Amino acid sequence: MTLDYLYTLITFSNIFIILSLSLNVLIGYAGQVSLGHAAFFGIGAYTSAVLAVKFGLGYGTTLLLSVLIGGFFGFLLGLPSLRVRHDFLVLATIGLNFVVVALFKYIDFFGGPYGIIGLPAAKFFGKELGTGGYALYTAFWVVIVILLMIYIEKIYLRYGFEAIRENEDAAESIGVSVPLFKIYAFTISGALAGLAGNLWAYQMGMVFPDDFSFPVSITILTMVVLGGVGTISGPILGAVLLTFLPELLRFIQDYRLLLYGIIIVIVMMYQPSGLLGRQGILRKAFKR
Amino acid sequence: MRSVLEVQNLNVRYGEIHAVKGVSLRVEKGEIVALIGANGAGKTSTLSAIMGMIRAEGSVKFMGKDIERFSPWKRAQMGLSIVPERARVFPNMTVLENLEVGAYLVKDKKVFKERLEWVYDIFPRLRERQKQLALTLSGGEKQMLAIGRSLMNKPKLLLIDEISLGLMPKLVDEIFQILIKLNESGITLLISEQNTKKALEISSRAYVLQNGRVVKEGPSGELKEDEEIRKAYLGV
Ligand SMILES: Nc1ncnc2c1ncn2[C@@H]1O[C@H](COP(=O)(O)OP(=O)(O)O)[C@@H](O)[C@H]1O
Ligand SMILES: [Mg+2]
Repeated sequence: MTLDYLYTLITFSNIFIILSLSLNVLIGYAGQVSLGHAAFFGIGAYTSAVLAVKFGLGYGTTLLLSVLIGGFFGFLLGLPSLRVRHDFLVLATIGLNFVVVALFKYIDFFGGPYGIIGLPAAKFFGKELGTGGYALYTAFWVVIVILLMIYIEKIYLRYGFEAIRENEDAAESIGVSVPLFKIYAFTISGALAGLAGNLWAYQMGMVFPDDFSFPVSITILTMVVLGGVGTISGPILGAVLLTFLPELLRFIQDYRLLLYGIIIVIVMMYQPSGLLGRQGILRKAFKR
Repeated sequence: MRSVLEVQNLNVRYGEIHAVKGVSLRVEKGEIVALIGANGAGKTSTLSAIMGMIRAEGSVKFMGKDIERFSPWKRAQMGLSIVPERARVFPNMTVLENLEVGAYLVKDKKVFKERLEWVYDIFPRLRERQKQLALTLSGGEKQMLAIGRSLMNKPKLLLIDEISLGLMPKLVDEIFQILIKLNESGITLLISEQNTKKALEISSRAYVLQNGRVVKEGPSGELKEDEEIRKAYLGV
């Protein structure tokens, strides 16, 4: 393993930590299961790619707009969630993922099936970072996102979110506005996925529709479920494990989705709260 | 003096089923008012409609304000609270977390601490179990937690839906004693009950619901002596 390769893996791992933490806001706090999270990841990445390649905008601007537009689409998805039932929302999110990928594929403006290539390297104060520097830069965002998660958990949001996850009626009757919190969750979740999209686009230097397809959503979901829904450490662990393991065990690569399916089933059966969840084996091991 | 709660011509429908048919009732400050009736009479529907948790027609005035268009969280913010049928505590949160959520509207740390102590003093068992997940509590403890959770908001009016449902007689006595104490400490109560005898003992006034209609109302002392009620509900 060369050092560059290791840095690249660390960057991927960081990006997926942000993705799984952002999905966890939806699932873990607001109780809204999304099977289409890669759509927001893609929206963020394409926002940056289009703005950088077609409009020549600088890094700071594309970053900001990826976050804002990701958040805006999260907000939009949040609106129907106020009216439709959970199981319908799950289907709607899958649909959204396919629609978004199809739009990337079939609209020329988004580069069609070959995507958009030729993103310049992200520059900071006029300097490029290199692979190691970029890994460090993404790690910086991971820290920011974790701090944000701690803030969300600590401040009353946590109780609002958790109450909604457990029982919307009961939450409303103690003064928690369910609509408001769902919208918060969708917006925050979309914005952070947008951030991850920006980081991805500049790491790869290009974006392809398939990088944001349904299997990627399943990957993110598996990370959250494996590590522990509703915790901060869980999705981080899930993202790190599922980024590094397939790289170390090459033969798994072709069977990734199968593996993820099996992981989800096994976790649901034997570790329903995830490895680091309240009843998780790892949490118990640490406590001892 | 204006009433704490004034309900006029309340109607609840579930599709074809007309569950609450023009119910009117009022609750004055400091009272315990009972809503009694057999299973299916419409007690839960009436209380849920007052809290805004189900769709209803009719006028609901709380502290002199029309609230029928408000969502439940808005009503909660105004000082209305409900202990739902079968408690419905948050099962995967600890007792303390349940109480913290109940205090969702309390932003002041000091006030929160005071409320928590107040609730723990009323229900010492909750203090003992504060680190336990709510799903591990017994039926009676869940009811206590549900009441405690509502109290964290210090409601002006507390709606309690069939607190005695499925509890052992000894626990029922204990919880009713607590309701009396709560009322003495200044909390107005509207309770629904199938346990007519107990409900008439602790309430000052009562409404009798039958098939979605109020068929009798009056001071509890008088209703206790009412021939029909003695026959139909008290088994005398
Ligand atoms: N969600 C519902 N859907 C359809 N019918 C309902 C529903 N809830 C209650 N009902 C009906 O409404 C009537 C009143 O029920 P309810 O308010 O629960 O009475 P109570 O609390 O006095 O037992 C009953 O006939 C019941 O079957
Ligand atoms: Mg009932």
